[in-house]
Amino acid sequence: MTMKNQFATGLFALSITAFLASCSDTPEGKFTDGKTEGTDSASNDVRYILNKKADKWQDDWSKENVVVYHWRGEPDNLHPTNGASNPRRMIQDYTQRFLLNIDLQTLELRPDLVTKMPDVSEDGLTYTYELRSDVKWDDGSPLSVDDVIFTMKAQTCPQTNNPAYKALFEFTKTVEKDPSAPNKFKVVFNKRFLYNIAMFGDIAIMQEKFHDKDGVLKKYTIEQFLDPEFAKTQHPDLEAWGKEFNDPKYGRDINFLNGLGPYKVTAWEDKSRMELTRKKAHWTQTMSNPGYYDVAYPEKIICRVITDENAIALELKNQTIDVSSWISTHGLFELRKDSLFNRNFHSAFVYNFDWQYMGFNMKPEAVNRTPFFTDKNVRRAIAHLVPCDEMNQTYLDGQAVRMSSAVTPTRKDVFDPSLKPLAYDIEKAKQLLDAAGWKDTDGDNVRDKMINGKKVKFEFELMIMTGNVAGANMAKDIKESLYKAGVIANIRSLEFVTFYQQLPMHEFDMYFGAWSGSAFPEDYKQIWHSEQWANGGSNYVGFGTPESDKLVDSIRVQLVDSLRHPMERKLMSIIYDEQPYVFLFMVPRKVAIHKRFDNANMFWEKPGVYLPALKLWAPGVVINTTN
Amino acid sequence: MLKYILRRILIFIPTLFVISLIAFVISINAPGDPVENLFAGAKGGEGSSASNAGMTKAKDELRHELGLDLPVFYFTLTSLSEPDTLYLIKDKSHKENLERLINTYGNWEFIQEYYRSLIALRNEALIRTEADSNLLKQITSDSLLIIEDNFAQKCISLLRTQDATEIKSKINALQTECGRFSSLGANNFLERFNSLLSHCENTFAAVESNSSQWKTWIPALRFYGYNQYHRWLFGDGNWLTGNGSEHCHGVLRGDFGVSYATRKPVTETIGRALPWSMSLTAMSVLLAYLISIPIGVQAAAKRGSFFDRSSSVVLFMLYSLPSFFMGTLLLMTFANPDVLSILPANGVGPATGIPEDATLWEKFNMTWPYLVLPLICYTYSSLAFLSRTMRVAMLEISSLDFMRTAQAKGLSSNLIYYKHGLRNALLPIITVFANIFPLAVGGSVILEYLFGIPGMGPEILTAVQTKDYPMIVAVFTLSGFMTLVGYLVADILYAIADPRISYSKS
Repeated sequence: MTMKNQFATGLFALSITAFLASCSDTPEGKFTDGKTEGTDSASNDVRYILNKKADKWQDDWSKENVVVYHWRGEPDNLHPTNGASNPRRMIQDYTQRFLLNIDLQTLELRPDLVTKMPDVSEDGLTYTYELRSDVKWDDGSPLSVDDVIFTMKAQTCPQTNNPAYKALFEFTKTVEKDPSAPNKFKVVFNKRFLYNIAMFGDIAIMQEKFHDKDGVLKKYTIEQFLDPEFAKTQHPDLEAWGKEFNDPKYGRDINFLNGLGPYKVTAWEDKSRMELTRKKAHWTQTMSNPGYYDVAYPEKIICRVITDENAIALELKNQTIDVSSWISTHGLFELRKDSLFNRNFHSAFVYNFDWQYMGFNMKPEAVNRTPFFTDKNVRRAIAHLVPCDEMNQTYLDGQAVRMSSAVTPTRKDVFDPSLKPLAYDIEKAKQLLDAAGWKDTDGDNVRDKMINGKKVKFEFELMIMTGNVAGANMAKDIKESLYKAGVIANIRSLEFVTFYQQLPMHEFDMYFGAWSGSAFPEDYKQIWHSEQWANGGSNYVGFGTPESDKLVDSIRVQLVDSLRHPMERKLMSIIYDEQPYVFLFMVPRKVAIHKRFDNANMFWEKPGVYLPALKLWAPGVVINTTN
Repeated sequence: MLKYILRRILIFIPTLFVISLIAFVISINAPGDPVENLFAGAKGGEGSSASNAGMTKAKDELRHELGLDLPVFYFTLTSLSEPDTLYLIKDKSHKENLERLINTYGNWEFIQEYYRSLIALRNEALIRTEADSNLLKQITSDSLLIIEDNFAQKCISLLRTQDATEIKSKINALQTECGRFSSLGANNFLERFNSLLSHCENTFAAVESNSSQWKTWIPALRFYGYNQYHRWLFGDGNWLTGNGSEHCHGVLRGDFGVSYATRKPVTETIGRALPWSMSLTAMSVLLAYLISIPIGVQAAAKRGSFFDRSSSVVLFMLYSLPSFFMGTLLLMTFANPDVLSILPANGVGPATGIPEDATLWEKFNMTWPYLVLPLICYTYSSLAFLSRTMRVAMLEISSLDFMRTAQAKGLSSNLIYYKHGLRNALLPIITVFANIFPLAVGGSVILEYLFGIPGMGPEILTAVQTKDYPMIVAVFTLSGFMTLVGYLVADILYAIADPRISYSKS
């Protein structure tokens, strides 16, 4: 799963996080912090937690081969192209297939619908893929290269409402069949780009026959769709196709959901439950040696929306939920005090790639705001005034992991442990502020400075999102701490949509933010390139030096890991030096999986679990994956 | 009576018109742009021209689909200086700045030229062409990147500036930047921007020198034909027949439009969620009345007794407990395996769903345990108020002559109070009943959230959070309608309860 587009979707961790270390299988009823095989630690390379099968089957465990999964919010829709939420991606992993996908255990790309990773030409611009020959659609027709070409055309077609995906095709030139073999095709690019392979981990393959019965897209080429001039011209047949394809029914109506995955959506009750049922006679069921990602053990997967903390805990205690990766930190702490919970569930605090920060407006003049944070020393001073460790203890039960730069410690190849988080140091902060010219000249305990001939007090607005309880509490602590150094922060709480509208317009002084990451090689352009400030991209703060821009541009075209990682570390050191953010915490995920299932692995990559692999091991029950 | 009912129903029409107008005005004036909200997940991103062109076109099409490219109402009261086409400016911050300029200078035709020159300059500044990148490689100085960024920053800033001194200062600063390009040998930058900057400077000079501020003092009434409100009411087809409508059939035909959040018809979402809220409200009302009325009557009949005092204390204690607290308490008691695990904690049915071939009785059996705790929470808070209202009304009645006559006849207490007294004391209770109808539409956000009931509460909460105005306006209008219906029902029930009440003119 690529992390191509780090959307500002407001993935704030409302609760807390914790530290993952491990969750060993324990003597019944007790929980201990041990380490088991597969446990994350600083010293080994394993990127997930392997939970061993429980020793004994309990009488009150259900023998039903149905996994009930809990989540806090359902997908926006399941349209193959027009949607962007994380829950949507999770369901796509079970109902769709991709040319490539991520191996949750190694966090590397793996072939999914193709026989192997593509052959790459010497110039790095042509990628040759070969489709598997055993893949069939639900109507029995085989997967073909035409479906792949159709998928790419549908994604690039100007009529398709998929702005989130169009950017993936920035450097795509064309796709063509390989005349030497019917299952082979080539994708040709204009430029070397990190995502030229990874993009196929984000694009579910669609059936041409299903979405384009009249063959409209066959009349057009992908080159036409990628030409900006083409978008300005009128094509009634394409518009008609687009109108049908964009119809919300292809994202919400279960009768119009189609995919290559082993599950299909058989019920969707809005804001209540979604039911996935294993398909009969699915092509993976004929495989003699199905891989981890080809099996589908549960007959059904039911996803239930539960938002109340107490209800979540009760449902887990009552064993009416089998899996959750949405528990709060405090919630999991409390649950673990219950011996029955520990007897019934594996649980852990799982590392991931999400992190929290506070962003400064480094280019406020564009929006006629006061230039509080244009000086690097001022930003560092503010960072020294944020009591991170204290906030961690108070609000996060000490479970958060401090961030120092823009990659989480889970990005082991890029993370630089020598970049230490800035310590809480009021005196140091005062010195930096003095050096930047912010001094209390009038004795009112608030620093001030002459800016453009006018005395300006150091009083700014700290923007937080309504509903972020932990963030609101932290903001108050930060406000108090800042005042000790003569800086006033006025907390402004905005609801979600308004909050995220202010950011690309740069209408803020400082704000609480969070990014959701992934194992994927990261394209830093969207967040860290200076170009993405002026054109409404995600570089809300206006970071960017000539050196960093060059690095970002170089990183995105360097396909060799051993050459790219040092550049990424260099970029991180520049970011660390510039402090465009106050880097706060990485937020471990809290996961629980019922012990009636084997293969109860917990992954760093979201959503932290892989439900089709959960195998019921009830005595006397034979799991038959061929319906 | 029938005439009265018909008359009242006719009054619904202008009342609903006013309600819908208020709802519409609120939605239009709320901050934020729904189209930008829907595209918030897609950034200008990678600078791909194709993707940006595509996104702009997609936004324009969506704006057209939602009717947001139309004027707001049939008319607008403005000044002579303001054009009737200002609604066509999509960017709100630009529009606000233009309004300020119009208020200052009053000469739209010149301001328009100035605005166009700024847009051209801004668009040029945002393009970082391949030629620029090649040039960057040739020029070793990193200063060019800094200059470019400052340039873009100032260009954007100009679009939000209305002060003349600031505008001139920024244009001068941009011209200075161009000079620095020249020193770096970046002559192609100069060619691109110099002419644009001159044009900006000249057009603004024209704005200043041709000021006609007097126009801002003269009011003007601008009329529009097809507008957002009209479309909202009648749809985008023929206003009378509805033929030819493409995206919207109009509220008068029961189409409240499409949700900005889910892109599903609002009526479909309400149709799914409303039955849950209404049925829970109806059941709780029934329970509340069934419990409160006898308590109130008995409390009045045994005034000052232990029952009277203790029931008051208990009911007011219950009344003082907030519903979220009560809900949590009930969950932790009855759905907790550590205490009593006899009721489910969340949802409206088993996780595996209800089989399609289940009989009605089977469906009821599978569903009712999930509704017990929510029903208790919905009901308990109204018991105190209703029972006290009943008690007070009954006490008033019991002092009347006919009640004493009934007592003197030797009738039983139940007969006296329930047969003779109750009907006369119902009027205040009926008044309360009228308020139930709009509550049934709104649901209870807290309780439905707590118990995982897919009713109107979570839908309204989500709609407010995501600025889903079609949904908000639909609920607002529906609530208004149900309030009118509630009052009409109350009036009818008054007449039934008390035959002395008559609505006919004689």
